[in-house]
Amino acid sequence: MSRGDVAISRPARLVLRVYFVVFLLVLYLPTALLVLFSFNDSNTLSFPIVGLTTHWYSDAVNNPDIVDSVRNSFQIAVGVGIVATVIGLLASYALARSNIRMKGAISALLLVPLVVPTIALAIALLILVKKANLPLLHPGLLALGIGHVVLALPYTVLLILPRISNIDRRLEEAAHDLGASGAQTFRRIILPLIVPSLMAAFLIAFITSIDEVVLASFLLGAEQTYPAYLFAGLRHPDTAAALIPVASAMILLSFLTAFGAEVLRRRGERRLGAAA
Amino acid sequence: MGTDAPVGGIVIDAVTKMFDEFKAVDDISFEIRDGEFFTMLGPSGCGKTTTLRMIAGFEEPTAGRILLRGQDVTYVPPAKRNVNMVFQAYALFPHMTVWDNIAFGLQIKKVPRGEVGPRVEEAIRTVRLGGFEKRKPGQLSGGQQQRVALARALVNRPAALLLDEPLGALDLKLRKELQLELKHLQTETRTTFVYVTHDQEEALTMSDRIAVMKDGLVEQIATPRELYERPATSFVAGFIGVSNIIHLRVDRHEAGVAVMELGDGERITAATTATSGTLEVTVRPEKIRLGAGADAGRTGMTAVSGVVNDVIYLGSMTQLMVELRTGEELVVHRLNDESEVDVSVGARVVLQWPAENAYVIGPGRAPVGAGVGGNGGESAITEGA
Amino acid sequence: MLTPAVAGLALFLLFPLYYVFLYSVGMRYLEQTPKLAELDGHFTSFTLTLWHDFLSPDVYVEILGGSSPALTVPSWVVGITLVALIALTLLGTRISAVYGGRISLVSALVLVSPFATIPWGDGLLRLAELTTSQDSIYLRLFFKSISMAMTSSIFAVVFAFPVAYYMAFVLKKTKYTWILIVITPFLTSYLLRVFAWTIILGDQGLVNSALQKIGLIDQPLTWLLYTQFTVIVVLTYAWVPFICLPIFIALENIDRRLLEAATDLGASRFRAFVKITLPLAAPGMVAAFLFVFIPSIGEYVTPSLVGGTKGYMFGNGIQTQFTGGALDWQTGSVLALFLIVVVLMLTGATSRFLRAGGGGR
Repeated sequence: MSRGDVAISRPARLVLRVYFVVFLLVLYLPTALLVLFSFNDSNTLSFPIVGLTTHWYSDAVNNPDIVDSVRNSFQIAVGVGIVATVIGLLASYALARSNIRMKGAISALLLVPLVVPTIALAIALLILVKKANLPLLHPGLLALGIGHVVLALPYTVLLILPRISNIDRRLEEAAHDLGASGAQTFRRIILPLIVPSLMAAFLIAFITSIDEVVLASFLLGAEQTYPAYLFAGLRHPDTAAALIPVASAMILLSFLTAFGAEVLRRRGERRLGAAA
Repeated sequence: MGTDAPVGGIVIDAVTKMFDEFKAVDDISFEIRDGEFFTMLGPSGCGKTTTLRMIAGFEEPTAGRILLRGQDVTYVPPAKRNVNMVFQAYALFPHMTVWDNIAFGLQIKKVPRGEVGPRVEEAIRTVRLGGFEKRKPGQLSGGQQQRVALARALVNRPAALLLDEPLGALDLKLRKELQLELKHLQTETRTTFVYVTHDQEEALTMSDRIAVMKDGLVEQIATPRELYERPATSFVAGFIGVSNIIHLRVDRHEAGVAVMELGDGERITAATTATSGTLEVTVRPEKIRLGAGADAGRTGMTAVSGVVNDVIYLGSMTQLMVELRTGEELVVHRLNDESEVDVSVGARVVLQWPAENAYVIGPGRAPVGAGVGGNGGESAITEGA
Repeated sequence: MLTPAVAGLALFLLFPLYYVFLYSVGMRYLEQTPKLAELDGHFTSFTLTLWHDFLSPDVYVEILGGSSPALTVPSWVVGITLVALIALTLLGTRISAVYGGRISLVSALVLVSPFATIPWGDGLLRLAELTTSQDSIYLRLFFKSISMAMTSSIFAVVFAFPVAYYMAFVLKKTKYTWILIVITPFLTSYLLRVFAWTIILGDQGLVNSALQKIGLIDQPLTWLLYTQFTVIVVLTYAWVPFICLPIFIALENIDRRLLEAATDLGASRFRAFVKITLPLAAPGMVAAFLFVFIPSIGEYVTPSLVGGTKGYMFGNGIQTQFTGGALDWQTGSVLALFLIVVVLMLTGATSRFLRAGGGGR
């Protein structure tokens, strides 16, 4: 008896299949519409479609506000990716391999940004940058980058920590036994084994930052990131049409990064699995 | 072999290891000689792996010293000790090829490039892994991984090779093959092997000497044969092979043989110097004969009747469980080609063995061993330096 | 090696939250610009006035959408009742081994009923409603947010369940590819996925154009966009792909032999589903519900884009205090801190479900 048979009858399976197809269509419909409207030759985002054009794209490329904000977004996202991954790697290694006290409390602290509502974190940081008079901390890209690292850190730790914990301690002992120092062991054994999860962590931190709008709408000064620019523009439907093309391109990009992160995560699992 | 060489080997000197409140190793002392195949044998939790890890440097003793070739290495980190370990489940680096795994130790030690190649190739040849250099550990069978682990350790030419249950993950047939191979490898490379296992058969097959451990203590150190035939404690007797332990009340002592009279001409005998009291005696199942033989009346021959409680067919032989009139039960092995006595359940049989085949455990044992060879004749534990 | 992480979080997470606390108890902590100082609160020393103002107004329970208050209760009674219901829901199985499940279920339903909403046209159908007097707009806004978050979470679980069931029980080798396809939209731009719904639900959007074309309506349905309905729809849409995952994992972990045993003992497939599959998948479904519910309470982006003024949520209330028109940082801090406390308590109380549901990640 095949396992499907016990759980589900033939007609029910057909109904479910239809539902599944409809579900996927609805799931991807909004994205598809955005791409469609990025070629629509009209100032309003409404039906019917008037005609096809690429002038929105050429407008976007020639709009310095859009170009600058996209550049800012990428700069912050790359920086956040690197910083969050490095800090997450260090913290994960310490949590996985040393017998420090308060391990539970520190792990909990690392996960707090996951549950604190972003809007609350945003206003907390806003008070910090506006009222604390800390050097270098003014509303702007740096403050936003710091906020994004706080947001992304739990994800990088959640991706890296299990991988390090899964590495058999005896691999490190074997390396020591063969004469390797702590640093040599980390560089030649640990690092190669967790590279895929490091890349996945970087990508997740990158996605977290490049798509983040709540912190951005509170913490930025004159310079904008793309989501902040978009968020401001989308609230006024009459200007929205001009924003769609880059948005479509960004969606495709984030599809690719999301897919890439997942593929890397799985490859990392397989690489460790082969060690057994 | 470097027997009694002053600088040779590994000395464990009054070593104790505590894990919090738990005493894993309790003040043990012994010496492992240069070039020998030394096995630490015992049930899990007996302290054998902890001892091995202290020799490797992964654990620091709570008290005591460890000497390697005369040099105190008690607090030397593993990376700086000239011993190498073959880990349980091998701990091969999964992201490196066989060649890179084996070359790892040499590269770390900055051995000149021109020397690394030949040494790695030699190690690969020694463990017969030619043709697998470019494979990753995940693409090898268990036995092949085991060989890579051996080569990775041996290529460094360690003063001693430490093996932590290296065959534990393999199936029985492969294990038997590799036991012989390991023994050959050890003889060939003349490297000291310190081997940890809980499998007594494995220990008996390969070792020059075996330390039987229990609860952090060494029960006995001896050659395999001596362990089997002359166990120092009832635990050793029980752990090595099938043990038959009976209690012998010394009623009579004549010509180096203690005799317990059971009436009706039945008696149990054992060779010993003890002239009174009750002795613990062990008789190996295959040394017990069924039925009255020609020399039944000989002085010192045991003759005791019992009832067969169980008959278990084991292929080449049959195992009988015989309950004596003393209430004790003995395991008896019969080769299946002798068929003169009826051995169905409930049958009454007579068991016989010469006094010298009954070995008295602990104090009161016979002064002279019958045909014990090798170099482990003296008392078990070598005093530390 | 932990230093960067711990120091960073202390400086940029705990320290700012401490500032929020100081503001919420009326202490203007540091120098302000003259303009802000003028607008910004009236207190310079410790006071609980702001908290009192926020939490103490009368609370009503309205039943079946009655317009006049059916029952006026002091807010502390409501608070105690809510806490008691939450405790019964969470601890039911510990109180009684036999009736525990039923106690949990009933108290959960009583707890949900004042909040659960069926969005219908311009209006909303509610069994009972927890509301407040007109002057305490922020507590009112908070109840509204809870209600909207809860409704969209329930819908998200309902819509995700068949998908997870299909992937777990019908799909074979390809299931992990399909999961990836289902979940990918969740990882792409939230902003744009939300915004795209204005194209679908707008006056000249996809739905209205289509309905007009086939002649079902003459005038566009204006309540499709910029209402609570819109926010609930869009929140549901945004979270559905994500929560397919915990439900899928719960279903995938069910030992298929249990179902075989049930059918072998004579149960129909439907009975096996009700008696075995559903109870075993329940923890995963609860986790899925919480995965949507908890972050949605403080949602800000979705109502800003598609909610209009009718669809405002608590997050918008907070934003208004800081960068919007109200500009009262002290009241804003009370609201933000209240939100944090509620969310953290909710997370703590339900952590065993969250962990069970997150086990597959």
